[in-house]
Amino acid sequence: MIKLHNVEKSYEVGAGRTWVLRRIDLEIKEGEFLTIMGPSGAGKSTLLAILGMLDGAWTGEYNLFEHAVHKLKNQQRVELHKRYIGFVFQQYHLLDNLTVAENLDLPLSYRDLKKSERQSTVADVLDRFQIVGKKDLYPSQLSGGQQQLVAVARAVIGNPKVLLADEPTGSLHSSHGKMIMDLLKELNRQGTTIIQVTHNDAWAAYGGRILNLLDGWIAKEDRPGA
Amino acid sequence: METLWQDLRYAARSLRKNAGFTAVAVLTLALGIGANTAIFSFVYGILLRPLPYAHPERLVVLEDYQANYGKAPSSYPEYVDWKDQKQIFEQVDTFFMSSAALTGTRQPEQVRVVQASAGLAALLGAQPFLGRSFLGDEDKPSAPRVVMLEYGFWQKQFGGDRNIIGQTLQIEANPYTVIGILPASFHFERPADVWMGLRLDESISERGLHYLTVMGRLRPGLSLAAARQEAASVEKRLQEQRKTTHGLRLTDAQTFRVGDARPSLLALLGAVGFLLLIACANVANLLLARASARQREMAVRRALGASRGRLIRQLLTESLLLSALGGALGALLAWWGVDLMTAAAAHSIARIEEVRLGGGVLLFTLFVSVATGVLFGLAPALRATQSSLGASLKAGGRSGSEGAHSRGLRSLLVVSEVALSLVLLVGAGLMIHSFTRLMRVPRGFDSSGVLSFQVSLPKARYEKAEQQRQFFQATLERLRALPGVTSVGLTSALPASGDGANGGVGVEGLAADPENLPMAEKTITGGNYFSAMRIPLRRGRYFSEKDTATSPQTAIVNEAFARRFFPNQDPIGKRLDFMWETKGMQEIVGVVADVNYHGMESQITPQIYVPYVQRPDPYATIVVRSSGDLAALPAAAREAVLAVDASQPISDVRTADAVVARSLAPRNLSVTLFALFGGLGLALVAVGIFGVISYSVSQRTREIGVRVAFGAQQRDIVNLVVGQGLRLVVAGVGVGLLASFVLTRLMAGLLYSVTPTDPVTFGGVTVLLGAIALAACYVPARRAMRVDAMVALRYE
Repeated sequence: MIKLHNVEKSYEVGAGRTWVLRRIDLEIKEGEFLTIMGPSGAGKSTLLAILGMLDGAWTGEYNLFEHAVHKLKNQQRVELHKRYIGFVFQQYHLLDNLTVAENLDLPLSYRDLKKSERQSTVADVLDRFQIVGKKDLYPSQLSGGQQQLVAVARAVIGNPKVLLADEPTGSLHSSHGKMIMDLLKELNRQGTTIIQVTHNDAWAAYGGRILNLLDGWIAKEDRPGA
Repeated sequence: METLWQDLRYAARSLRKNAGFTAVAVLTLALGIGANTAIFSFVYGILLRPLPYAHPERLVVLEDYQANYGKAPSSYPEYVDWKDQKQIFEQVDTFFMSSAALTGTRQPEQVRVVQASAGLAALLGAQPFLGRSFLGDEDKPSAPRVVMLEYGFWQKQFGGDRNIIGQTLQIEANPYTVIGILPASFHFERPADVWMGLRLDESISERGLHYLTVMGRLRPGLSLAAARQEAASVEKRLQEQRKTTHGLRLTDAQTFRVGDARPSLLALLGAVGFLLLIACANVANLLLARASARQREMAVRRALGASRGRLIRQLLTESLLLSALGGALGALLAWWGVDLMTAAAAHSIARIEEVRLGGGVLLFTLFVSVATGVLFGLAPALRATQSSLGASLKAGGRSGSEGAHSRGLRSLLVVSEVALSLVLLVGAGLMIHSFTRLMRVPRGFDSSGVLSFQVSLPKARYEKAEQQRQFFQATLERLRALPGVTSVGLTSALPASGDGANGGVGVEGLAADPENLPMAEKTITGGNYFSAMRIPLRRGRYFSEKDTATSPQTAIVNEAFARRFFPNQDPIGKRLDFMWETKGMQEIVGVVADVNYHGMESQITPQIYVPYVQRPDPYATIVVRSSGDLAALPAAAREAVLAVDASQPISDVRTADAVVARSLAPRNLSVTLFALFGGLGLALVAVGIFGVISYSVSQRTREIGVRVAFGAQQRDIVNLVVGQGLRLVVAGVGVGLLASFVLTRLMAGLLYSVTPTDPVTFGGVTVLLGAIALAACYVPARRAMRVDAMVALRYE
């Protein structure tokens, strides 16, 4: 499903060059739950951004299903992103000015769907995540766990094949963290490929495979269940 | 369409949630758009909208021209000569304004009369809505006496009585039959009550008497340029035929009507354009600051699938909503401002009565609002959607910090604002400097404490000169006896009023072809006119009781006349020929100070005064100087006149101060507006600099904390912050000074006794702007000075 070959990212700093990712070769199968770990500055979030096509300034080859992402133009990548990718962030990143329902509607509104179709999808997701009662509240009126729940709901509302989660429990109390992780596991069980970045060993263990990054290199690969 | 509506809804909510930002931005834009709308309504109403006449594009005014005198009104023989030029004109007609006594109504009244050739109303496309217009020969002296009434006068005087047609009015003690009422939609270029035929008798048909306004309609298909070419050959032929140096000049009727208003209106339009650009730069700066704070939101939206184009569209929707709100508020401000300005300049600017906030102007406001929204919104929108997604999202929940590119853009905007403001302030400064110079010019008379009013004696009752003399003598005596009155006189034209007659004069010893006489202003004065107006005597004497109807004829000239015709000589005792219903020569007995009769800014021209007793006239403006309260004087003056003749009205009762104020009103208005716009520009720049430096201080809190932690003193921090601001100001001032040197040359025609690169104005404005900018930098610098190192570092 995802194949990275020799993917690299660097910045020019003065006369030299700082490497963020070095020679990444990685294959992720459909339905997999992959955890990326590593110390700060190891390149975890950058790798996630490249996988999510939010970062376009890299070299190497990236194939997503039959699409050679490295050959696509920016607008084509945006389209691909809309079709396959969902994102969950550590800081939830719900938009403060929008209600829960409007936050859920946001990704759909960028997909040129009819309003009635969007309303029906939002209603389904509100129901599925049991947040119907909160649909007219603003993010500031929700707890951290509730906000992340909405953020996950927003990430999956477009039925993405791949859900990218950048430290999804990083800002949550452990009980809320478990709820979110269980939710991700359930989504994975239903067929969504999950790629998460985390520092937490317990949450890392939800993944079937753990990738350790160090200074931009893939340092180690573990399979907890194996 | 639906997503557009969604963008609009979200934009409205976003603006509502940031009420402070929205209020500042909308107010700033309202000032810019409002000022533009107000000034454009003047430009549209006065310069752009075609004259409300038939085929206005083909209407021209024909003027007399002499190389050493310039343009002047035309004489009757000239009108007759030009009327025949069918190869140029489809039709040529003429008129002059006069006033006449209307009697037999509730009380005698002086009415404003258009004395026109029979075809003038038709030339302008004015068809009476009741009755008929003049017939072909009804402008001849022998024709039956008929009049048409203007709609407003008909309503005011006769309550809109439709049976007035065919009735007789007593005008100048002669019966005139009302034949038509002009429609309400017709606005003649001068305020008038009654139209009557030209009825020119021989006494005022001389070639040397220039008082007619001649209008013509060009033949269809003939351009003004082609007509001018054709007129040049006609001029040459006529000059040979008539042995004259007088020529013909064609001006399109709109330019003629608008006169001096065009350059000042265009300069004001330029000034408000600058003000709008400053407002745009200010709002763009606010949006850039906001864009930095919204980096996270933009990143999230992109992460959720929004394309950059879609995000730019959404941000532009917000900008357009802001500018629409600014435009709506601006239109309200303009509506109020236009009312205020038209009242302030009523009757002193041509076509001002046609200025209003109509559909054309509002369309302009809409266009300006949309253009403004795009102008100030595009750069911030591009910036906001350009930042690195990963960095923005990784920055967590904190507001994004500003990149070097954004900082550069904001600095560029401040430099532009300062430069624009400097140009605007230099323009305002030059106008104010001109005005103060104008105020200091010796006027040659003292208008304070003087009341004036007009009297026009009907020829039917005052046919003989002796009757006219007796009336005015008796009236002046009665007025002189009023309490508080110190001196009384009369004149055929009041200083600064724009009235007056000019024409060829004879100067003894100066050989001149009768057809090419030197021109001079001609004024008839009586009583103690010079004392009443306090016009200083330079040589010789004023007119006195020694000057009688039978004594040798005398004249007084102004200094300009003495300089021109008697350079390095004593003019006293020299003789001249007044040539306006006088016979023989007049001896110069005095030289008085130069007085400008054509408005305070016109050039002083040679002038001759003759005594009323030797050159009686049924028309005069009476001037009364009083040491008492002028408010009580009009009623007493009216009674004094009625005591002499119970059926004699007076008109145009006003103080001489009001006459001067009216002549200064257009410049006064433009100076006030320039000062207002300059002040607004300065305030916006101060806010802009303050905003940028404040924002920069908030972004640099950690840096300042580190500096303090490493020993920086408060003075060092102030220098750091103020230095940053002043670098921008110095750059802006440099660009602004260069631009001003170029642009103010376009204003040269508007300035009075001040050069477009006046160093005092340039220096003063630079110091003022520098001081304001320094203050705007110092306030945030003081805040930076108080940064606590430990708090700042912990916060970060």
